Amino acid sequence: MDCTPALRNRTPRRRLLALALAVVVALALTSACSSGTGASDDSGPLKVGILWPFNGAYSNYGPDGLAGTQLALQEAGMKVSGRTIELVKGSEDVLDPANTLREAKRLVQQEGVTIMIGPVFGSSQQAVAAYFKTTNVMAFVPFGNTKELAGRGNFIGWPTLDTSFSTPLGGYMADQLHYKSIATLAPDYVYGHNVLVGATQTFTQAGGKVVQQQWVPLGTTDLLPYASNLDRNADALVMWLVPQDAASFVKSFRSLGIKMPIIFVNGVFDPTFQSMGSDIVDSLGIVDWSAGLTNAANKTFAADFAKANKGQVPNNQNAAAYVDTKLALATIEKAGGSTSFEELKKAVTQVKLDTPYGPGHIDENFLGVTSRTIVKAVHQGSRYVWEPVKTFDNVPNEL
Amino acid sequence: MLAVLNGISLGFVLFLIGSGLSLIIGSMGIINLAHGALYMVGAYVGWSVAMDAGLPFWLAIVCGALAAAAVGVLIHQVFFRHLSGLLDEQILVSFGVVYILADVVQWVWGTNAKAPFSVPGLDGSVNLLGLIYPTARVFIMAVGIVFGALLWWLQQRTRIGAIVRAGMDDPQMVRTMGIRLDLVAAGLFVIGSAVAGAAGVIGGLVMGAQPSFGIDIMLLALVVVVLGGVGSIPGALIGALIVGLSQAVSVVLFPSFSGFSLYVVMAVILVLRPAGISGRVVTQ
Repeated sequence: MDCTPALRNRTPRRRLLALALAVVVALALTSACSSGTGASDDSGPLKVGILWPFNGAYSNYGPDGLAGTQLALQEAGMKVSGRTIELVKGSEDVLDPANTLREAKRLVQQEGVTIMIGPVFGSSQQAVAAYFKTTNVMAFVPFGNTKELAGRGNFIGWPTLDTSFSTPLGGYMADQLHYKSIATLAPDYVYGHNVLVGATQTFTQAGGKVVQQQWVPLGTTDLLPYASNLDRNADALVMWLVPQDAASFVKSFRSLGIKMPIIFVNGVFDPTFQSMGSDIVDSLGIVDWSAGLTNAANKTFAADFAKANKGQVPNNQNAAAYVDTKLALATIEKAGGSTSFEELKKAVTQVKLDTPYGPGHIDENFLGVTSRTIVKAVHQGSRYVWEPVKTFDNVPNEL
Repeated sequence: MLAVLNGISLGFVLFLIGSGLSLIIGSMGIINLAHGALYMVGAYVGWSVAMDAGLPFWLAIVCGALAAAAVGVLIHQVFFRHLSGLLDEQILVSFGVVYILADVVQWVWGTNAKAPFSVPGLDGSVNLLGLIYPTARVFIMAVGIVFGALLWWLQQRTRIGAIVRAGMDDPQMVRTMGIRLDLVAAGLFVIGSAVAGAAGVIGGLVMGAQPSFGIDIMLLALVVVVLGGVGSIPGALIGALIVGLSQAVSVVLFPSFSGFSLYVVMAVILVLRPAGISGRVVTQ
């Protein structure tokens, strides 16, 4: 009986020691797994992850991205540098970046992915950034490429830095269209602000004046107030809104009898473009890609995509995922089949591709350098298309 | 002037959805957060009828109302019938229904949002008080005025309306008079759902149809009810006009604060009149 207290004291200590040991072992194992994830395991199938929204908000993006990625992989015969490629799907949660991070961890830790296509949205990219850095994952991401994530090598931003998207537009408006003043309209979040930066800066540098900038808060359901509040003395309205909001705004704009030209940054994506085309025929836009671009790589892509997808015309998501995947494969090829992060980093800036966007490469900040095209909305046969007017090649990124 | 007209037209869309929600909360004590999702269902059904099938717009309104009413019956019978007086459960369940319905519409109609409906006769503009103004907006205001008058007449001048009003003030007394208040309330739930569906089709003229409406529209409708006071048609109308006007006018006067100006207005009104403009208090 006397020894009972001593036993009672010793037992928790032993348990604590055992627990501590277990924790240390677990940490050691996790660490080993983590370093193993990012390190090159250059034998066996190469796992490529696609982390796009397949559920919830913007869930149309996921299948679109998948179709583009699958086409690129099929063209490569599901192989790169002699290794078989295995595509692993994960779902980005646009409304909850924490879920996207969980899904990224699943792809990396459980599936063994080291090359990722996506995530698509800026908030998701921010959420996974620290994790990708510690695990040496290289992600090829479309859209939402911000300055904050540039230069690390974990994010290869194709086609461009978002603040450089509309750079050629400012000079074009001032020199070719002879506009003296513009008004702008975009959503009140980071991408909305960033995507207009290039155009407004270069327009101002060319002597033009930005007389009004309207920012639409998230969740706004009625866009008529923004149309009626527009400064009608401006020579043109430069705008970017998600397609359904663009359609709603343009309808309000036209029904107020406003004749001011609208220039659509990034055009308007299908299928909304097809349903609102008659309202914006002859309007100009600036795009990185559109189905109507006439370069040889785009014609081949459109034909191959249609063949693989029952005659479907490709859209922006298809094209972005297609090129992101082509870039990933070319990078691995350049690195001699290695998936070592450091070797991939060296290789990716040496890749040069003829893409559906135009000729392109990746700069020293791991951002795409490719073409931008001024386009005009026209009715062709039974469809509306963005017809190329003028192309600017090798548009640099201004950090 | 244009901003005021914009606010009034948005106010009438919100009135169409908020009035039904206000009556449901007031008469039944049910917090149905899926009311905005019924608006969304109506908008999508309206799209199919008016845009895909090319049928008359009035038929689209009827079909949208019927579809939302059918979903409303389902929600009421499956969930709310068993959750009388359980406000927390009602909120959680109806919030879950919002997500279910949002997924269902994406499954049926695809994930891309629908552009504002183009309806012959309602596209284009009219001259209103010397301003060029969208015909669809004028139509919405006209429908809102007629609908508001009809609802007010039903609530104030008919026996059913008297029962509903009495049920809000003293449900026990109404039941002791042998009136099946549960049946009246269930009928009101269905009517409120149908009105939300019809509002979705009418609102589709200017806002199209989006899976996010289940939450975006619901948020505004709840503000309408909170401002107007539950169970009051005139209160819902005034609340809706305040919401619409504050949204439209703030874009002009305080563009940087337009995102939350509405909530400042709501806070001020609730400080002054905690039970909302109509002053009616829900009786459990």
